[in-house]
Amino acid sequence: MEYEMIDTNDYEEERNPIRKVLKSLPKVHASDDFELRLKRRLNQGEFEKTSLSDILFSPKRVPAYSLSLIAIVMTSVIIYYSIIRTGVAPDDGFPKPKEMMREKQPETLSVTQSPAHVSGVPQRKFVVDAPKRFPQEGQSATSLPSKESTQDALSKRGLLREVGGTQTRSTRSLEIPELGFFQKLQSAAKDRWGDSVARADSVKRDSLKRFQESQQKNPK
Amino acid sequence: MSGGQNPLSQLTDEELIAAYQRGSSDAFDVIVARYKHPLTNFVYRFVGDYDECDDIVQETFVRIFRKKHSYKPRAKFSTWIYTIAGNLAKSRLRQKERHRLFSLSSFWTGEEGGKEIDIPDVQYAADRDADSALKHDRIQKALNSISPKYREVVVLRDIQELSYDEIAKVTGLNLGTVKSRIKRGRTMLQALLKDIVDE
Repeated sequence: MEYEMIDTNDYEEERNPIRKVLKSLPKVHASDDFELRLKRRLNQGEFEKTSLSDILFSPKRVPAYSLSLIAIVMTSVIIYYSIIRTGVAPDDGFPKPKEMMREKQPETLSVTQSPAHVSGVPQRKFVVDAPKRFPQEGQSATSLPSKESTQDALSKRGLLREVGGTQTRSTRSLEIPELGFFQKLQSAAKDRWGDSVARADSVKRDSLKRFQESQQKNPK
Repeated sequence: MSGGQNPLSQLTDEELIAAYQRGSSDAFDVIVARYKHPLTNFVYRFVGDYDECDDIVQETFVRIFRKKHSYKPRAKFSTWIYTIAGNLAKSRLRQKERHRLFSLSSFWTGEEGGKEIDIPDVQYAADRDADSALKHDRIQKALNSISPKYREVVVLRDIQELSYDEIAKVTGLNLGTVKSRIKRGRTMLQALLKDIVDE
């Protein structure tokens, strides 16, 4: 507790030296024009009647309002870009695999399974969803540039999709976009190295021809 | 605004404020004339700066002018007015403490804290001789150096001569705390003004 028992005898208190010293201080008075200045101050205050708008939009509140507005705008921007726009990738001009699957009705090439591969099992029909560069529907699969059978080639790459049946894991892995992508790569490689491959082939053929001629001339 | 010859000057403080609450502006003038000097003395001895003191006392009367109906007759009017002035003075001291600037005078004199005293206008202290002036300045400086919580009660008791009960109501403290703080404040001042006290 802060206080203790104090003797408040007035006589003793009056004899307290510090009390005497403090009482000896001169009285400080208000200035002569105190009341005039007070009246002016009161009159000024009467003209400045505060309304609700004065209270709400007083200069003291402006920093608080502006900071609040900035905070709201920043929060909105952060929420918009982090939550609302999630998953939207910018369009870079390249075809998207999913878009290709969804938007286009790809040309299908029906490839029937040869009875030689599966015996005793009814024929199962597979389709390859191929882009337009592939042989059109109804065309023979043998027109494909690949030397190996189309079915084997496609099944190796897991690119066959079974029509009408349940999708197995392997058929689910058929990604036609990979085919399209593969075709792109193939054509790109062909464009880049096509001439050199042809040249290499012709060089190879010429050397083989020369070798054969030399063998004929000088048989061992 | 002078209330010297006014018949209202015969009324007590409570009667004056009641008249003012009924709409008598002359009653307010009498209240100002009656309390401007005591309040100025109290606030000056408390804050130690005359300009601040003047502003605080003016603000006290402005508050009474605007919020006259907040006074209830169950308490003394002097208690109410001293409470307003004391609270404004304490707020001002807290503000000054927060925004305290480096004081050049303390740099030159080597004093700690840079606590300056503002000597009031000599026009109302013209009868003092030089020695008295120095002595009074030292006393004010000693007052400024003790904590405001002791300073307030010591000034109210030993300078304004309010009763302990009134001081308890003005400061919002209980009687025991008031007495304890007054005793402690006097002890501190006695140590600071030992040579003056021994005279």
